[in-house]
Amino acid sequence: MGTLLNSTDQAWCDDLLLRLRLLQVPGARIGEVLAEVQSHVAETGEPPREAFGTPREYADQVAQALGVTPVRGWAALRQGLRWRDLLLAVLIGVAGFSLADGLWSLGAGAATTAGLPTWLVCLGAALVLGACTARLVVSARHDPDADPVIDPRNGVDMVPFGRRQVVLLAALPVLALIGMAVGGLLSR
Amino acid sequence: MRGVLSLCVLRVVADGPTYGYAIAGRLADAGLGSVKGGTLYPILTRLETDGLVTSSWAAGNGGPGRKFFSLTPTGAQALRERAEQWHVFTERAAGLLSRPVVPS
Repeated sequence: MGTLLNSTDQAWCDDLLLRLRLLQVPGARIGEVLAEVQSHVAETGEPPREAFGTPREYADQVAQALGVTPVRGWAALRQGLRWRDLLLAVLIGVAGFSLADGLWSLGAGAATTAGLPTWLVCLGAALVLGACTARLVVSARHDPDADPVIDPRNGVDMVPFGRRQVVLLAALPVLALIGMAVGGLLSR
Repeated sequence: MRGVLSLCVLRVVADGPTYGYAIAGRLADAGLGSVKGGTLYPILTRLETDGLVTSSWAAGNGGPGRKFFSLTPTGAQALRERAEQWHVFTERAAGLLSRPVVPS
């Protein structure tokens, strides 16, 4: 959806999307609202901030017009959290730490890590981390509760979780892990 | 005043399928001032959720398309009733306001 708006207008729309999500406006309706803004901006040449106010104000107005009761702060956070997600976060944390520790040892030439063979720690942690990443990607793409933001004009998901997003999700941790192995090597 | 604006929007849509920017133009032509998108679209959204108007997207030439709104039968009935109420209210208000001020 980025081609029609300049970067300031796009940032305004992204902020609006986030705030409508936080107010738990249904995805299909968010798609309508974003398409209306794009259409209006193209028609008038007015910047969105001038025509619609701040994203926060406009999101509140939309929620009010729809009769959606805003859920804010702690209650909203608790509603969105599931045990499965918490477990996944803990698993990723433990596996990430173990893999980083294992790679450092591997670089430094230590045969054991925390009493286990280093290669085994690395392999196990990498497998768990890979599985968790796959689970994240699958749930982002196929979660039945996902409620995607659908463009009413062409039925396309307006915030797709595509290859670029997966690369972004994986690249930083992978770089950091390579850094650990290099750090271990340098410590010899 | 928000309620009256909503009634005016309903009246504009009653003239046939039309889209946001054109509605704003009609309101401005009628002397109601420039109505911002931030005011207009939530009004249309509410009219739609109340079942008074329906909407559909039409492709624009090269642009991001236009959302056309049209009146439903329920909307036509609501327009008649609300316009009637508004006339009664303005007549009574005008009657009161036009009375000469008599200091007691």
